[in-house]
Amino acid sequence: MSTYSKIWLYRLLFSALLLLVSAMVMVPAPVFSLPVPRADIVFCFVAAWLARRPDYAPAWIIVTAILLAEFLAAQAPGLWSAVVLGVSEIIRSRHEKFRQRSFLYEWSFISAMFASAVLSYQLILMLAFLPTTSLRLILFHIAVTILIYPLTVLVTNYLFRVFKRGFDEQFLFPGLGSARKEG
Amino acid sequence: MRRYRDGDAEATAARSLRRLLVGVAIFLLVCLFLVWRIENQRMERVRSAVMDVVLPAVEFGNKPVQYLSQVSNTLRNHFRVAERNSELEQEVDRLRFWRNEARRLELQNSRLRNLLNTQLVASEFSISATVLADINSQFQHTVLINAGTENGVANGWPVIGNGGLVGRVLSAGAKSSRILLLRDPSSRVPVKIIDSDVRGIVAGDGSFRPLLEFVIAGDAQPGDRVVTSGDGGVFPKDLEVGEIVVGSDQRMRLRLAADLLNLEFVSVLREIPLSEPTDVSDLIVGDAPPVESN
Repeated sequence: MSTYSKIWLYRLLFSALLLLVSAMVMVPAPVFSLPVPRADIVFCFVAAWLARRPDYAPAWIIVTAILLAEFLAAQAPGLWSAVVLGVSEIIRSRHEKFRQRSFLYEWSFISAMFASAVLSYQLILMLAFLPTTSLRLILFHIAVTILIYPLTVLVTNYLFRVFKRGFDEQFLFPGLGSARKEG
Repeated sequence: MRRYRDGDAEATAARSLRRLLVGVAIFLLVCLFLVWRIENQRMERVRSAVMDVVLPAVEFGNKPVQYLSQVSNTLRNHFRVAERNSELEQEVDRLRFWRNEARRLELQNSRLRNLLNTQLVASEFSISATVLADINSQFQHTVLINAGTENGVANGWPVIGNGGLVGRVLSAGAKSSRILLLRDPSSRVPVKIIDSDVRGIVAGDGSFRPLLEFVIAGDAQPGDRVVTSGDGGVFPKDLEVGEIVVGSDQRMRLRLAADLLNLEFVSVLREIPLSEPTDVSDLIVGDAPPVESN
């Protein structure tokens, strides 16, 4: 398979994943109705793919998927997508660093990004005189999402076979040659 | 060397173009948010239209998960069929008793009504619907149902199901509508306590037990049953809401009669609003025959 069609295949996979996860959050009770705030799994997957292969997760897919989810979820449309787009560009620009350093660095960086995204989102809601949630719930939401993140990384790695560059194909399929030369 | 520098310049140019595009996109998204904030009604109509298009896909995507939960339910029920059967039989017995009681009371009621010669407002009926999706976050608690304006649903109508009041229609699309649940932070419902007629407001705060506000602690006891008061005209009178409990924060809360966690079917109550009487002759209808209630 050529590199080009492979990238598009993975982009398709990424879009399907985001849509599936956003739809799954809306499954009627009782499967997913827990009385606690849910983790933002969509954000986790976006960050995990961006940290691994930013070329598989272009900004337009991220924005479209989150905007659609926002429309469905009766949130103020556009705001969360704008915040996530900004944050995702920061994560994208760091992906070389994620490759060089340990997972702990990636995890803490993305946690900090998510926390600042949620807090700035709430701040803008407040400035627009829209109802916000209590700080306790917000912090809980952030904590749950941070804890879920490594799980989504595992899924990204071992279910979707999306690895960081230089680690991937050569490690799994030695016949293909180094992926670093390809990229 | 020169080629390398060219490539570098190209990369820089591409990067700044990208930055520009991202900036424009963020600007447009924020504009969308502002338009929504200002022109809320129109944007909500757009949202309903989007929903009508996307909903079949959501339903389709949810099929596997729903199937799994059904299978687990079936398995669980399978192992306690006998137990469940006797439970249901007891329930049937109880309900039969209540049905007879209801018939007797209805007969009595109609006789009394005849005696008093009162006119009933026989304008209430309901539209049944299935819950399609549960759109919950820590910020909002709504469900999506598969009935919309095409089925006669309109904004603001009360919704009951699973044993009590569930909420009201927040926005009705053509084929689907969104229901604002009682636990949503923006939900406010005027209520009264059945026995004492003390009035208050049930205010959602995101938890499963919404707050009971504007009721003085001495006026209400834990265990008192609460129904809608009909004040404000949005909800009809005497719909079962719940029972007073004292929350862990020592404030008065309601244990809702409707189980909001396991909503499957709901009914949208349709009621033609009563206009305020303008003339005394509107209040008592003299010689008109009484309207049948069913």
